[in-house]
Formats: sequence, structure tokens, C-alpha cells
Amino acid sequence: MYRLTFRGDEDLLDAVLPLLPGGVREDEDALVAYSGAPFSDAVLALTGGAVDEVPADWKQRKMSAGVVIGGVVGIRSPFDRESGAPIEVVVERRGSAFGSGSHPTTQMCVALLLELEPGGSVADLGCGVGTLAIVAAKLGWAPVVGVDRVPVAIEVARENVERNGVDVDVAVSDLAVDDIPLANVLLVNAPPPVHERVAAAVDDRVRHVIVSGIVAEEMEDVVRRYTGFKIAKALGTEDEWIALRLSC
Amino acid sequence: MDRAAAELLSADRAVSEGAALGQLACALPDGGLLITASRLVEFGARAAILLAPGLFRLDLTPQEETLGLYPRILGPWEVDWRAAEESWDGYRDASGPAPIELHGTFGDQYTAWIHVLSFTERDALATHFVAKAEIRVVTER
Ligand SMILES: C[S@@+](CC[C@H](N)C(=O)[O-])C[C@H]1O[C@@H](n2cnc3c(N)ncnc32)[C@H](O)[C@@H]1O
Repeated sequence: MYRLTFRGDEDLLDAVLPLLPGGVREDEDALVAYSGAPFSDAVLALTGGAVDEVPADWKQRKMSAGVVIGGVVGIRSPFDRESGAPIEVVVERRGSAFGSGSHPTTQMCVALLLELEPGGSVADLGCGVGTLAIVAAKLGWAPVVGVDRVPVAIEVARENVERNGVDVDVAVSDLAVDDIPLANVLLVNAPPPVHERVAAAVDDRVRHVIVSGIVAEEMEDVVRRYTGFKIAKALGTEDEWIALRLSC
Repeated sequence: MDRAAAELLSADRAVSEGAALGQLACALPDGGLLITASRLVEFGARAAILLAPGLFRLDLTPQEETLGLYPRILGPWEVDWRAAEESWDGYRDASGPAPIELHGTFGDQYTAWIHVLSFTERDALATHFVAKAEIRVVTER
């Protein structure tokens, strides 16, 4: 496998991207392209870059580390190497089921949960493949439940619960119509219509709601619906995803 | 069609300039240009998927659960891009990936309708894309 490292701006990319079907990656302040075949003379001339040879499985090595949140919780797939984090969560996802841990909303929810002293019940509403529920159980929250309307997500969530050796009850449920499971802490990484129903159902056993799955412009409307709760902490990403801890 | 339009809507040119991308092109029956390409793009790489010489290039960066989309304008055009709402919100809908649709208007002269289907192959750490664009001269009524 050949690696080409070069520097350049959008004008250079206009010239070289049409010649590099595998595309380019940003690596600190350089651009890097990989190819199984030697790079063409045209690409070398345009970029003036340096070529070296790298092992064919470099991507697996480089990309399969999973994520570590707050130095405490590692989330990775069964194919990844161990992260060495104190709490390691191994989740698989299939098809379009959500929750490998790679999405910033999932990571921000974990970061917000880490700031709470574990103790009490948790409900993960829109749990996808169960990632947040499993993290909560591993942190010491109990009992933990998770629901999602997508059957395949719940099927995979069950496997993930077992794989991680935790006690989490997961079930298929459509939060648009079914009763909302409540707990001391609600993890709601889901679109605004779900927040609307959850907020209407919240009662006084709920102490904290970790809210995500929304973008900046939706925040005000979503927060307003959780009456009696105040924003205790807010996180955001450059591409506008928001995560909040609402507490009462 | 004038010479400038004929040049921009030339299937031969789109094929030759997009050859390294494996791009195919043909003339549409009504005089427009159709370009299409399919490719496996690895997570984190920014790759050109469609190239309409003199008009635009569409670059994509797939990640596991998000997709970066970079329409790059080639030339002095004032371009107005519009995307269908579900194109951006697709990830929230776990019932299945929605195609990405983009409409571009180049000045008041050309329109491009771009359609991209994607399927993520997690084990390959990559996303498969099938993309096409229909480009037409704006006809005055
Ligand atoms: C952004 S994902 C979050 C998954 C997981 N909690 C995480 O943080 O990684 C949102 C999830 O909400 C689920 N969802 C959306 N609307 C729902 C509804 N009406 N009832 C139940 N689940 C829903 C989706 O299926 C999806 O799995």
C-alpha cells in the first residue's frame, strides 16, 4: 500500500481529487492519500508530495480503536482492539440501527452522565443498540431499561447487553404512542417529537434528563417543554449537535 | 444550444475528465447531461463522487453515522443549492437510509439535480455510494 503525503488548498484539490478515486484524508496539517497501485505521474507532479509504503492493514490499525470518553468509558466494536479505558463497552450495530458510539451525540450523553454520581434508575429512551443503557449499567446505575421502536435495534441491543454482562431490560416500544418508561435519570438521544412526548410524561421521580439528538435551533423549544427543569450543563459540536443535562 | 452550453453539457468531456473516477455520462433525450458513478469510500476520506466539468464537483466524506457533503463550484457561477430536509435528517430515521437529493441552480442558466444513495458497510469501514446528476439548460417559458 502506498501513501502520498502532501500539502495544498482547495485549488489543488480541484486538480487532484478527480484523479484520486479513493479521496484524501486530513492528517494534522497535511493531506494524505492511499492507493494499492503506484500514484500516477500526474498526481505526483501536481502535489509534489512524498510517497512511502505502509502495511496494507494500516486502516484497521488506525481506525479501529473505538472512542474513549472522559478517560473513563471506552466504546468499541467487537472487531476493535481494547482501549484500556477503566470501563470498556463493546457494542455491535447492524444495518441502520444506531449507536456504535461514534456519533457525537452518543459521546456527549456519556460525558454528561459521567458527571452524575451513580445511584438510582435509568431509562434510555430511543436506545438504538443499547449503548447508553449499557454504559449506565456499567457505571453502577440500576435498574436500567431501554426502549426503541426499531425491532432490529432491540435485537442487537439484547446481544450487546449479554456481551457486556450487564443487567439491562430492553424492549421494542414506540415512544410516539406507547407509555413512556420513567426513571431517576432519563437518557433521551432522540428527535424532537420524542422529547415532546417524554417531557409531557415526566413526573417527580425524574431528577435529571440528558437531552440530545437535537440541533442548536431546536434547543429552546425542546427545553421549554421540560417544565420545572433547568439546564445544568450544555455541550455542543461544531456541526450543531447539542447535548444538555436538565436537572430539577 | 449555444457553444458554451454544448461544451458544459458534453458527455464526452464529462467521461474523459471523470475517467479516473469511473464516471459514466450520456446525453439526455431533451438535451441535458446525465452523469453517474458508484464507489466505495472509506470512513474519513474526502472523495470526489461526481464531476460536471465547468459546473461542479461533489465530494463526500462518510463517517459511521454521519456524512459530509461538499459541493464545489467550478467556475464563476452564482449557485443556489437546496437539499430535501430528509437528506440532512436521514440518520435520525432508523427505518432506512434516505437518498440525498440536492438541487443546484447555476446563475439562471443551468440546473442540476443530484441524487446519491448510500449504504454503509461497517465491516469494510466504508460507505458505498451510487450517485447521479441530471444537468439541464434552464428553458424560459
Ligand atoms: C440518535 S439515535 C440514539 C441511539 C442511542 N441512544 C445512542 O445514543 O447511541 C435515536 C434513536 O431513537 C429512536 N427513535 C426515534 N423515534 C422513536 C420513537 N418514536 N420511539 C422509539 N424510539 C425512537 C431511533 O430508532 C434511534 O435508535
